[in-house]
Amino acid sequence: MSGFLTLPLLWAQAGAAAPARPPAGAAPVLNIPPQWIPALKWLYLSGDPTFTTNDLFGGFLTWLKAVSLLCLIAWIVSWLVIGVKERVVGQGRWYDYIGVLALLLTPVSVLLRVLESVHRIPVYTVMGTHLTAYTALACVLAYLIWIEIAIGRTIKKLGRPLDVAVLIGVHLALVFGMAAGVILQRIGFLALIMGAGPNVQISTLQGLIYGVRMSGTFMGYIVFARIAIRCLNELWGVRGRRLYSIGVLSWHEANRRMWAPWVVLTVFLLVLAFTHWFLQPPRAAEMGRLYVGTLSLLCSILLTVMITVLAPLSLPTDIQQQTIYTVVSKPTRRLELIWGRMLGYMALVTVLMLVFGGISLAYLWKTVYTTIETTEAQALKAKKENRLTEAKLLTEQAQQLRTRMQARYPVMGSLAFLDSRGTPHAMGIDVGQDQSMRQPRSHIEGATPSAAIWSFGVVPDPFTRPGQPPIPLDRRIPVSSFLQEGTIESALDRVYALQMQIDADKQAKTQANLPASRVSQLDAAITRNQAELDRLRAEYDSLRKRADDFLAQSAKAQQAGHLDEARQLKLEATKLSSPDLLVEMSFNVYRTTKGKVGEPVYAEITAVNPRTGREYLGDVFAVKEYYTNRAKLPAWLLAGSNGALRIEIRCMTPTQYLGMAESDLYLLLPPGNFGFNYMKGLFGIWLQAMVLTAIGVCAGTFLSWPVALLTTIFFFVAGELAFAFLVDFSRQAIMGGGPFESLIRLVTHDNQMSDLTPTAGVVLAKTLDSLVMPLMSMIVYLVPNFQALDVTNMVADGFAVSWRLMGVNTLLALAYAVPFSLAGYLILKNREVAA
Amino acid sequence: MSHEVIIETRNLTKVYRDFWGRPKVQALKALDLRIHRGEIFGLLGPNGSGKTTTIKLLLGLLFPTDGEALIFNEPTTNVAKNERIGYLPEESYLYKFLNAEETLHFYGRLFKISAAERTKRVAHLIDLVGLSGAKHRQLREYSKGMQRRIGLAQALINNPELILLDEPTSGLDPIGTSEIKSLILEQREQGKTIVLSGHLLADMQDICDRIAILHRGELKELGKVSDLLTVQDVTQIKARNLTPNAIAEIQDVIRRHGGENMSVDHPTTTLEELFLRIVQESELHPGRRKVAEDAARDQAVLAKR
Repeated sequence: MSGFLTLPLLWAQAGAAAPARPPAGAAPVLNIPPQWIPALKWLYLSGDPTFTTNDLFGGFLTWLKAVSLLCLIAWIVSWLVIGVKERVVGQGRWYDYIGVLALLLTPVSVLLRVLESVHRIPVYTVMGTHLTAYTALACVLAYLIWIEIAIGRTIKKLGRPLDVAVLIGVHLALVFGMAAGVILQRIGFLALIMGAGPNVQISTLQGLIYGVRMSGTFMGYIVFARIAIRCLNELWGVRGRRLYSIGVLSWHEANRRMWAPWVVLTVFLLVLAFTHWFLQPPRAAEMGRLYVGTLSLLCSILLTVMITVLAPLSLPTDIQQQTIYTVVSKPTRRLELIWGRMLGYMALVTVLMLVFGGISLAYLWKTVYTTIETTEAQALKAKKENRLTEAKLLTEQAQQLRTRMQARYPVMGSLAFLDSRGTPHAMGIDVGQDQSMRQPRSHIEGATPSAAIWSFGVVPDPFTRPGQPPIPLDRRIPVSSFLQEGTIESALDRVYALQMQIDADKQAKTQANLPASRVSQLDAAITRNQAELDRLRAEYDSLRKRADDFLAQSAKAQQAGHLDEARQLKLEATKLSSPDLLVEMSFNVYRTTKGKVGEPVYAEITAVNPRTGREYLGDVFAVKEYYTNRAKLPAWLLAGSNGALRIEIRCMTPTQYLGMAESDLYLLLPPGNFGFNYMKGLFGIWLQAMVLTAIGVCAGTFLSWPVALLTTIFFFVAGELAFAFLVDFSRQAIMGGGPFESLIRLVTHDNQMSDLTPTAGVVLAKTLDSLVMPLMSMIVYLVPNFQALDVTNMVADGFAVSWRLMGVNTLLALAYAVPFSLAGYLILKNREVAA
Repeated sequence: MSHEVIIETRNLTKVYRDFWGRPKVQALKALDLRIHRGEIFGLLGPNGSGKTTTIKLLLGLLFPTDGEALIFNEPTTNVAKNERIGYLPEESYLYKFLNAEETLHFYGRLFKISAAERTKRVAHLIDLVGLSGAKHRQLREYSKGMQRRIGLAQALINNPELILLDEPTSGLDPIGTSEIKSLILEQREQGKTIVLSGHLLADMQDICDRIAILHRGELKELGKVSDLLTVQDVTQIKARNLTPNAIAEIQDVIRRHGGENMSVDHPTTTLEELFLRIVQESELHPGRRKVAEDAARDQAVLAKR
């Protein structure tokens, strides 16, 4: 079971997969020829359930391993159930008694282990090994014997030739995995990947156990292949016209029988009509966020509830009313029944989403945008009436509101710290619980050399383990998006780039033993680039001169009192430059002393182009707590940067601390369209609905509609509200024990930390927990991470939903929806619809 | 009728089990059948005899406990064979929220039929089953007879080679029954194979070439209808306008040749034939007619006077 429990959680999120631990660096200690190393790496990568690469392929591989293991479990369980139902086993033969013995021995073994752990009985050892280990081993062996005989006999009696082939394949995979484990141990590879070092001996038994662990994956691949072949065969016969036909049927069913879209639309409009009654933002600037968040939530709730009801009801009703007879007696494939239903419901969701999106945007336009315009008008009026403080406040409010109603594209850097002595660290000062958050937040000390440094470009991961080669992170700034074509900075950027190319070529020429042909190639390149550089320099000088001329003329016009002309000329000069880089920061302040009430904490920003060495010293600014600080950096800083930049923040107020996480500072690309971004946010809800539809339809293939409905609700609630808990649960990181022990703590008012007195009740609870916890932990691999698919918070915060994120989320949704729909197909294929 | 076997069952057995896999009912016991192309084959038997189970097994809606069934020489699990099959279930298991046209288009799209051809067939079938006036009404508004008609239309949407009809005349009035029977005979004329189940003996007798009689899942009789209904040891002589003397002479001849159990009476028609004749006459000559009981009452009144 441990193999399953330690699986990386792709189910949770592709990015959460375990980082790669490449064994390449230790290749010299292996006792094999170097050409074998790639094969070994592949063996390890494909067999070890906990190892993967930190990229898209790694995500796919982890998904494949998890699905394969679930396939293997399902294959074993289904043959056992068939065997028992068809009376192939369970008829009182000798092996059935062994199975019963294992069933009885398991709780006894667990009970003994619990009694040992709570010191109610002494620890008995036989030949240096715990007695409970022997009893556990006896249980495992007894189960294996019974399962082996049950499956073998059932397949022999009821299986097809392909099933026999799978049975043989599974056994070969078991042997292969065990052999691979022993071989890896013998050549020292196992010691390497276990981090034991070359001088530590790994025993053959450990190699064998590791091999069994890998066997689970390999056996899973065999069953997965069998299922994949079956599904591909089915896929070959799937026709669009039948999918369309069943989709149209589902559409009509939802519309005419359930009235679902009309009910949902009515509720949406009703809620919207009274929204402004009960939605009062805590601060005026939060209005946009509150409204966008509420409307997205409303869409999400209505659509997911609709799908949660529709999808699990469709097939059970079809089966119950026997209307399915006339469909499956046509050349309709079972997969078409599943996908057709999904298609119909998703078409409905798509239409509703577009309607909801349109209405929501109109509503936001009428409420938030009107508020922004009113606030700006009030600010202008206050300014005219010389109420400057109020004008500033109102302007700030309007700006904050506008910020939320945008689609900002942040460009993130990599954060590292300097401590008060100027020594670099991956983390700053820990002032409390902030370190355990999803994004660790740490602090810099005021009025010391301590600094937070955001590095852009291809930078080393600050969290690289000491002694290991740094893992490069690609945090390059898209320079072309900031420096507009035909501007001074753009020309300067090209000048720098060309100059660097010429310098590199000249440097290359200095190498010894360079072939003459290469030297002549480099000479030609240098000459060509030099000519181009001269042309670019001239262009750059010309642009500069034009800008200077415009500014000089503007100054003269201003002196002459021609203000409009002066403004126009200044505008012409501005057009020749790229706009400043906008930096947004949201830091928190940790105060060691209260200081003067109302006095802000100050910070300083500096930016350096590490390639050209040009530096910009920003102004000292007051940190706006709970608000966003903005700073502007001149565009010339990016010229010649090749996407690299370093931004340093220092706290200027003594004895105070400034806290920050990596995402607290970013450069802003020109914002995108809010309406479009809102629809992209709704796409996340669409993906949730797709996964939910797959679950609902799958549940409907074998459950009656009330049970299917409850199952779908369970999956949604668990994935949306309790996913983090489930992840902790699967890692057995929940304090206070399992469900039974927690129940005891609840009743006796014991806290989570204290040890319970080992009474009979506690021992029983711990025993039951030990039995059910591993099984319950499996749920995490089935429950989709609905939270990860929901990106409406980003939209409400005014950030753009990137295409990449949408792509990743689509893959994640498909990683759940496809297996669920295929599971539904397999169940429907193997059940009698008329039974 | 050709000798090509369209349906073949070998030792086909079905046992319904409970949740725990214990046998509950043996619905079909070792059924062996061979049905040929172009024949109308009837599955006859009382309720619970296994007729519907047989049809469901043939369609793959149920899996056999033992034995096997082949349709077009292919196993019943092969979905592709359904392109050539039409099926009318026992009840009209149709989507009540669709109208007749939508229903036929829905089922039509499941087959490899072009859109133009499908539209043509839908119109033709709606006309054929007499639902032209109600084609835009949802099926939930249909009477049981109308539902059977649209059910039959959906079974014919793909112009199937094999038509499986489970109690096709159930819920229909005599006229509807007669029309359906005519339709079935028409389909046979077109070379199609028809398997129908039912317990209305007269209906089966009228149209089936061969029948199988099932009882409690067992095949009790199988053969041509004419062969099964012929009473081999009885000879029937029919004549018109015989005088009593002539009848007496005939009886004498029969007695002389060792005949026995002789009965002399007037032949009767079937109720169905009578009903149809009356309806047809009524359509030709509308208005109230004197019925048999009226005539008897008139005679009684006259006798009293």
